[in-house]
Amino acid sequence: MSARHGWLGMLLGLVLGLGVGLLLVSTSVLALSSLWPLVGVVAGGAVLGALWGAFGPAKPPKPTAGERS
Amino acid sequence: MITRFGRLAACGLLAAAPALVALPAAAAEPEPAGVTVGGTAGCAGTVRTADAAGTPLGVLDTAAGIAASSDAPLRIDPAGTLTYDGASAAVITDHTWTVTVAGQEVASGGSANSGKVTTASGTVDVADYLPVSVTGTVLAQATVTGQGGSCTGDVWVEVEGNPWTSANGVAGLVLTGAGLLGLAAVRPRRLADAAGGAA
Repeated sequence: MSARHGWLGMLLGLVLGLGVGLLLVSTSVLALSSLWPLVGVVAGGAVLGALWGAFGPAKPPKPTAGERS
Repeated sequence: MITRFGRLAACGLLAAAPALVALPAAAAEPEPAGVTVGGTAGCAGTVRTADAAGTPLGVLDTAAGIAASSDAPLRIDPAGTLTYDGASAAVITDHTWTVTVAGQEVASGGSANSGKVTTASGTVDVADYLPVSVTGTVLAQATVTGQGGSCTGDVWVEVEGNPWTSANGVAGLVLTGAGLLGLAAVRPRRLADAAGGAA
């Protein structure tokens, strides 16, 4: 079992998607006739982030109080 | 039990879902060719852009068929100027006009045109319309509709500049960095019981 962070991952993926989308627009890689391609990139980032938070490679468990001492 | 491969496949499919939805919709709509002029009022016009030093950058001429596609857009210098000259064969009175950029309305207005003017020309500083430094290629569309006819036009425009120091470029870099750092921190964490059980 592991603690999953799907919602937090989705939020951060949305931030990442927005950042990547803005970079694609600023470099003219993405030429916009409407905002839908940008929405697609942002949504794709959110989905990836949610999957990363839920199913990404797991970190080791936090040490218990006994293990820390 | 979901295998690691199954998770990867699900991740790939779900990540591609927005693109799979968006691409057919985008393909269904014909891409505007650039400087397409339509309507019923017989409109035509030219646009010339120059950089801050006055060196010509781009030209549009609807009568001559000099267009601006998304591959070869009309280049605009944020510190430069834009000179326009337009005319309609018919007089359009009591008109309303709109300008959209990337499908979003950015300006609109109207006029009675009681003087029955059929031409418009002038030179504008691009900086007056771009208060912050942005770069990129977008489709700009304009429409005028009123008594006597209508005119529509669209043109692909590339705002030049350094994409890494423009406002949208810097915002993109900051958000990308924040997103990557945040995602590195929100990986799932194995619970102590599971770790103990697995060991």
